[in-house]
Amino acid sequence: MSLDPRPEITYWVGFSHQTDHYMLEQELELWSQKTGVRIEPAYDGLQIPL
Amino acid sequence: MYFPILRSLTIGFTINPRPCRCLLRSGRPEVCRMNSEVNTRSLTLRGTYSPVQDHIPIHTSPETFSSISTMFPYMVDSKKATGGGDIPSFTWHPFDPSEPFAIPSCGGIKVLPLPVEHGIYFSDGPAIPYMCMGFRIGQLSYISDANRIPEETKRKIEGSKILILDALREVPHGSHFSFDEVPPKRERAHGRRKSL
Repeated sequence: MSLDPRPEITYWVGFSHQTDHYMLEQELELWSQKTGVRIEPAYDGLQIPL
Repeated sequence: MYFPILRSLTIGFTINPRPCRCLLRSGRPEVCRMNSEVNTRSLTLRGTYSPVQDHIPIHTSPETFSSISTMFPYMVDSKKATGGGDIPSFTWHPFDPSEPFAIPSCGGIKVLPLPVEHGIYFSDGPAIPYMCMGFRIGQLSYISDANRIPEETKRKIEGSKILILDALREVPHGSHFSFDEVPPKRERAHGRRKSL
């Protein structure tokens, strides 16, 4: 699925207990730098200004 | 996840029992999800102290409303409670999944349902996808439970500045996106340039 225009940021939610949040955060940061597509894992207390 | 839409206006997505103006219910009435709804009873209890709020409006698809009515009748009608336990005070507002709807308890804010596939029905015959609801509010699209997004829904998401997507784990799963299946990653796996 591709979206045009692409969202400014995509947050991932609903991780299983097998997920290490900080490792995923690092992986996605590297991936985002490489591709220019911004993805971040969401977290409790995250506030998104609308 | 809770999104403060305005300073004192919170829309909940049925996870934590926090004060909110309404709940948007995505789909499958799993027991774990229903427990989170039951937990919201603490907000509406009438006992020694005044309740945090009088009731909680829940907006959901007709299919989910029907399933909840069957599985947990007391959640819909307090007269059907059989024990002495406290029950939450909800008002139910089924919406048409193909049309935008407004939430009166949230100042008439408009919400566009985003039907997405979330696993399949375990029945004989051809596989029929179970449709779950994501929601778009302004420039934010929220999809908490999905393993495939239909083309028609993709068009409804387009133009969102913020996209929130289900991403369960590394290993594939029958009804949630795995990390390699969430659309941006899937695009990478297929070697396409354009992605989310």
